[in-house]
Amino acid sequence: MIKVSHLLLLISALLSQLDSAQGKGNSAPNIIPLEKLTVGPYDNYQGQLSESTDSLYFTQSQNLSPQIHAQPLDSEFPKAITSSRADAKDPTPSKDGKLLAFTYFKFDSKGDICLKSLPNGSIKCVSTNKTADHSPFWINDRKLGFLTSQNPATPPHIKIVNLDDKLRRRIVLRGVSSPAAHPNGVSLVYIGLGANGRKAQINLLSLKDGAKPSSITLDLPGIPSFPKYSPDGRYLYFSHYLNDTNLDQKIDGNDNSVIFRINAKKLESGSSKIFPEQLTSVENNCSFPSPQRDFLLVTCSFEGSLDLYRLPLTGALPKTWGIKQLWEAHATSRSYQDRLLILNKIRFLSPKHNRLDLVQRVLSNHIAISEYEAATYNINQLIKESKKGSLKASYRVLQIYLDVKQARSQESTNLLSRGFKKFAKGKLSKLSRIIVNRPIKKIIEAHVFHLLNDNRMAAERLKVSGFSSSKKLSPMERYLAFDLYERLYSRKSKQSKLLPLYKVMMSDSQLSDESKIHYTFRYLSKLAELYGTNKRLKALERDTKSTKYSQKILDLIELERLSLQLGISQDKKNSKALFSKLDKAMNKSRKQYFLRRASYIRAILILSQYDKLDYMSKVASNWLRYTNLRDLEFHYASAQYTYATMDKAYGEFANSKDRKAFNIFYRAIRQTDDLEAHSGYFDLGFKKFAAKYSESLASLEERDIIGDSRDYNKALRHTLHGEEKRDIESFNKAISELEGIKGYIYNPAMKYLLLAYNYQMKLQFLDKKKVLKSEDFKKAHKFYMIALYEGKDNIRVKASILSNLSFLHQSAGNHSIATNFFKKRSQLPFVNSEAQLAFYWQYSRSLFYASDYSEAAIQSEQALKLIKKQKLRHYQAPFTERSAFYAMNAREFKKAKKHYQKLFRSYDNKLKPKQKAKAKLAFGFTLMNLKEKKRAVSAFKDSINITRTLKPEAASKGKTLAFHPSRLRILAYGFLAKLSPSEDGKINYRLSRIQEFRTIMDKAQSLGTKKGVIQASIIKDHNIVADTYIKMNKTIEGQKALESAIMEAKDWSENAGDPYSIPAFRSLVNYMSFAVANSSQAPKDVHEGLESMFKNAKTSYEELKSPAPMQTYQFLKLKILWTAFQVKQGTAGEQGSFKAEMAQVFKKATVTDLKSKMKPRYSELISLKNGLSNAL
Amino acid sequence: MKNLMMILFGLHLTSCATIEIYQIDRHSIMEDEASGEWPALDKKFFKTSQAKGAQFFPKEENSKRKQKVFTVLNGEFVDKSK
Repeated sequence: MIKVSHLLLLISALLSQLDSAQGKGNSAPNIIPLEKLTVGPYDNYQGQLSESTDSLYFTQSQNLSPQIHAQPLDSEFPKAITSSRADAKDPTPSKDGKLLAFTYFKFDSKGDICLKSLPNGSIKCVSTNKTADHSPFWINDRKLGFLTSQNPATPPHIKIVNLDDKLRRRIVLRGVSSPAAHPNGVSLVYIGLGANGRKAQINLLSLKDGAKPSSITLDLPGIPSFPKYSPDGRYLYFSHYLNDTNLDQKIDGNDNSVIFRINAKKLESGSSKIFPEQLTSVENNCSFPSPQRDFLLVTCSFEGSLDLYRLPLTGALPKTWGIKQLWEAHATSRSYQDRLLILNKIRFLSPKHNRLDLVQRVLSNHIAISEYEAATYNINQLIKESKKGSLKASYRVLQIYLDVKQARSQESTNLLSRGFKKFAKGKLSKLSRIIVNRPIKKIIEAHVFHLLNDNRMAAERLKVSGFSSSKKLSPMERYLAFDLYERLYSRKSKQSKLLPLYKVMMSDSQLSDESKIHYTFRYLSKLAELYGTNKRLKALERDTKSTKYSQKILDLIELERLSLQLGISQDKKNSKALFSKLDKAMNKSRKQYFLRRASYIRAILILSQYDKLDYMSKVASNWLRYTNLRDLEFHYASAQYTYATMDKAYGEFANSKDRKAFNIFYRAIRQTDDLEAHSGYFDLGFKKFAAKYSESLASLEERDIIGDSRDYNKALRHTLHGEEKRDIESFNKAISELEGIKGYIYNPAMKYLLLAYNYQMKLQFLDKKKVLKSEDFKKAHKFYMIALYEGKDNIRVKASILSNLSFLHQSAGNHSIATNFFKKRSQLPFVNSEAQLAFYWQYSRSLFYASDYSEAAIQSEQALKLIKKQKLRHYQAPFTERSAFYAMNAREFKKAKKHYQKLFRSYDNKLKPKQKAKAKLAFGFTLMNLKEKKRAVSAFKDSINITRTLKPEAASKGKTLAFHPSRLRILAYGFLAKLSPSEDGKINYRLSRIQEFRTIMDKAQSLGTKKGVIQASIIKDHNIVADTYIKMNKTIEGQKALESAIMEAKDWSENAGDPYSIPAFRSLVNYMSFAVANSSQAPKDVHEGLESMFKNAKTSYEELKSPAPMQTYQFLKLKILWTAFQVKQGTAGEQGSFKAEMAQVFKKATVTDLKSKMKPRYSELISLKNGLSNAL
Repeated sequence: MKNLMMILFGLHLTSCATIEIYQIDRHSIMEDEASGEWPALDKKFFKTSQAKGAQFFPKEENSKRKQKVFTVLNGEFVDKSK
């Protein structure tokens, strides 16, 4: 017997051959997965490759704003090549790679066609900005076509522009969209209305003058879109919407799309109806095909986000597969969508062979996944081509079922609309008029009654359909009748009624072996769900004695019975004997594929459930062993083994049986070389069983049992070393090991996860401000996104990736993206409560930073609930404080107050002075908003008192800002000033605040601010103090405060520059107004300060070529006051000169402009001027 | 004179604009000023939140990939009496 581990080596070798044969592929022979070329989180679509520049061009949409990006094939990251100030889409490089045509919205909101010289040239537009232009396409390197219309709502026509002589040609075509040229430049393909004028079709048009378009009729349901020729012109690729997948009652661009291609020869031959070659499964939802010389570029949707992917030109099914392998893939496939892809390929390769059989098969799969439009199309084909009248009538009946089902799917609730009821009853009436002597009529009637919520009538009709009698039903009739029974007995209390009905399906000779085994498999699962072990064993025993089942069904039941007996056996000897029996029986089924598959899956599930890991492992090993490497089932067999083993290993770990878990991981490595098993083995090994780990790994390596995963292991060790020693070189070494893995690996998501993780770890050595723009950040993001795609259905891996991605973006300050990843992460489980608390901690912080304060408060509250439930008391204080803080920011002050009170009441001793000073400040703010003034004042005073014990702290690596206690006092004094009932109090708090500002002035930068900003605050406080004094009639003190403001403002404006910025302008206005009104004499230095500031303002205004009305208003105000101030100070002229000067000033054109555009401001200046004229 | 005072003065001092005191992002400042620091917890959660391998969930419930692999599809319905 060949060792499984040796088999694995063989697999690697085999797969590397397959890789070269198929271009790509990293799993056992199987449908070729899509290879991701771009990564989110933004949508990337409309991909085009310029082979002459080896760059990929595509549209990237960030927050509904599309931009064109370019990504050289040898580079990791895309760069925007259009300005972020205007939308752009439809990138289309010319063949020679010199120009990029695209739709641009910069000069015209309706869209222009513009050209950019590649790679970094200027942009010129070729269309006018009076029309709505889009969808450019190249006919040759100097001739460009596009769609144009008067406005976006009117039908477009094609315009072709010759870039050399600027000649333009106009082609009007009905309903034209998605035009593209043949590579020889002599014809076009586009989507347009066909001859009947109703349905969108692919159309061809010669570019010779006077040529008429011809439509291509496809032998497909639905509508085509985005046709494009391959570069050699041999194939026409297009995407096609087959079904109304989003249930909006129309097939359109919002539905799932599939890629097809047609050999161009067929287009030329004028075939009446063309059945194209399907290249992708409807599950992938791919569109915008762009065939290149060596591969097919497509845009596909994964978890709601669009990205570019690559596939072989021949599609997802390996081109080496002939009819035999396709049938094998059909048998082993695990989804109806994959089956449809395979069946359509078989239909394509042998169009005349068993056509009706194939159409019936296709119909079955469409019905199984509720694709009603496609099923309708197949039914029409069957009605047309079936010879027997009764069969035709049966299909008409089936059509009624599909119509009502489809209509029902539009009903939003179980309360049916009047329209639906009328429709369904009309169909019942139509049904009664169809003459067919088949049970299907009653069955469909029953279905329609069920869809009308009349289950009593439904059950009655089903009863007379003959399902349970000896009457012969066709396979479709059986399926439909059973399907309805399942719906009628869906409640748990009624499910036992299904058991005898399963038996009818299991024993029906009209059904294929595959169907009978399918129903038996489900029957066995249902028994396990409904019955306890003993009752289940008895039922199985009775079933094995039944005479109505075929031998295969009896074998499957017997295997279930043996597996169950082995599962519950407590005696070693007995277990051994039972396994021997089971093994023999399974051996017997080896050559019968469907039986073998069902029995192995059941046995693996049962033995895993009953904790018979050793036996489960043996069964799984046998399953792998008996499955030929070339056998398409091998992929699934190894996956089954992996899932069962991993569940077990993780389960043992959760039960604190670490050694057991460790051993299971080891076994999984030996069997599958799965990177996830390596990771688990490493995690436990390094922490707890270091000696054993090193020894067994060395042994595996020595025996050459593990392949490229040895490099993964090396990378794990480097990573751990890097973490422990904070050594960046170790992370680099890990990256180098991982990037060196090129061959086959099982579970590549793990490789990308570790790779991204190492890049993320490197970021901790970087200045926080530089993280976002660093290459390491981009690489970490990119590899996480690839890992996410590769591990899309593995929740254990997905949970790690999403956590890491959230944290990565949080650390880079990308909080809105971080919250999106956190939200996705929240839908998956957590290993333990601590991990969940860590999640809440981070998530709420990112929400806070993204300004979603309410949600931050909600998430933090969730954490508090968890803490209470799990009695995790040591987390209570920090989460209470955080919850209070987030509630305060969400302006939920009552909640915030409650949390703060609890914090001070219960955890006061846990709070350090700094924490307490901040919490008191926030508590004061909360109380102030609740109008609890006295308590708020007390909290602010507490905070100030505590800060007296605090010392400044410098910024550090983990903390961008330095800390200075003055900052807290500045805030507290500000609030106290606001709350103070007395004017003296207000003034004193403001003066204290000014003092604190002066303390931190020279440390501004380390505190995240600038000297000028602090000065502006001081100026503001001086002005407020002056205002308060003046209101108290303390004009001398008021003037002093204004003088302080002016002196500060002078210094400030010398540094800050702008004489019209608020602190300078307001201080000038205030001082001069005060001095004029009070006839007070300005000290010399203040006078000089004022003069210097006014002169600056004057020069600055006079330098303006055409000042805005607001600028005129500001200058005039200063001018009026300065002139009056000078008169009052006796430094220039008298009242007469004021009037004369004002008369001159108000004559100017700029003033007339101000008068017409800002009337109230103008009037204000006139009042001021007149008032001063009288007063001076 | 009092009227002139009002024209001249009242308009400006009371309407002193609010000035942003800090230059770096507002949220960092808000957090720094009014939210307690928990560096030990931050450090601990930093470690807990990031993983280089899969999460150790005991069971992979409702996983699509698992469902797909362990599924046994129904056969297709071909009526031979055409």
